[in-house]
Amino acid sequence: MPIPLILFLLFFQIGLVGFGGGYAMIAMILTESARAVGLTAAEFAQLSALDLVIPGPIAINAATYVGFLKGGLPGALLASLGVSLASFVYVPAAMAFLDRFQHSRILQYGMAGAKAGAVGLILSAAWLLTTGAFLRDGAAWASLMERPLETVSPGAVVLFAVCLVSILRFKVHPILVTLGAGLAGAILLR
Amino acid sequence: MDRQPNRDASRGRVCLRLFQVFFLASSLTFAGGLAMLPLIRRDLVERFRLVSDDDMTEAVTLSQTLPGIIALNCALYVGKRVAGWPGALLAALGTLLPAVAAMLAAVALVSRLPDAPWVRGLLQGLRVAAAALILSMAVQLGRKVLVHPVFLGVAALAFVLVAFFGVSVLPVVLGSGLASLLYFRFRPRSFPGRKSGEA
Repeated sequence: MPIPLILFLLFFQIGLVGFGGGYAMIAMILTESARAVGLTAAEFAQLSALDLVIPGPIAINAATYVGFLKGGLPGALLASLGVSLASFVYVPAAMAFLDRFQHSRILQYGMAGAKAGAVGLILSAAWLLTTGAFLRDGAAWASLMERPLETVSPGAVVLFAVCLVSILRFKVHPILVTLGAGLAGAILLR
Repeated sequence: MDRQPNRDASRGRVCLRLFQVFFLASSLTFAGGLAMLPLIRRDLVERFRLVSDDDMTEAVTLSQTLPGIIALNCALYVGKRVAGWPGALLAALGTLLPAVAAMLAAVALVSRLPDAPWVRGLLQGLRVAAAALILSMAVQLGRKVLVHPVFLGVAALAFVLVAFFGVSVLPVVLGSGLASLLYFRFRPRSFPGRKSGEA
């Protein structure tokens, strides 16, 4: 199958199950694109930084980015269309059955579960990213026991802890955290 | 107080107005669609009076409950309500255009970064920030959503399946929904109420 078409189908799927807002969808985009079109952790890192400084909804930005990287301009347009398409199905349907939609217990049970599943998905994206972010260039986890300091970058681990605490504990804005970490990386992690 | 929607304007002008409002909101918000909603409300309800306050509240709730892109859900709901399918399409186009165009320009620029040590350091710093950001997102959403042992189990299983067995998102999310549906179908009283279904 041509890559733009693969991208279209991939992002259509992500839109269909995109519970939990933009960051949840970003997590799905990472895990799925890594599997289906070989998106690397470095490419994803660039994406999540760009996403915060580029205007527009996060998931559309992300679809455009991955689409362009893996399938050029057709890939970018088809991925963006794909991730948007689900809304064209859900919104009119929900509007037509608004009363039943809001009062259906069954739907509420199902959607609450889907949201819980989305939390697990975001967690797995965090896992994928963290394990990638701690490794030095070209190192693999296999050498952790013999040469720990040549495998894992202690600076990255410390920076990670600082970022996490500033977001969760001190509610620093994600844009500031991202810019600060980029700057710290350029100076300290070279 | 007269906050009724303005019904006199012709449909064509309303459609253009919708495009303008969503285009502006999408161009001016950086960290995602949720942040767009206040801008959209101000323009549509107070400035142009295209939508009543109640309708807007309905739109905001629904766009966050449904899966998919929040801003786009909102554009489609409001557009369709105010001016039918043409309104929905133009509002959606207004949301999509700035996001796609700006990202294309950014990717073209970034691909020209040199391969220097400081660029590699910068990228690793960004990677670390992204990891922390996504993890804190999981923590924040988890605190809100995982209010019942069934949800905790579902989230844990989803994590293991995706992180260690490479299962794809579609079956995982559908399975999560189905598991919760079946459980609470037979134990409706233990369902933690509407609050956990929102957000």
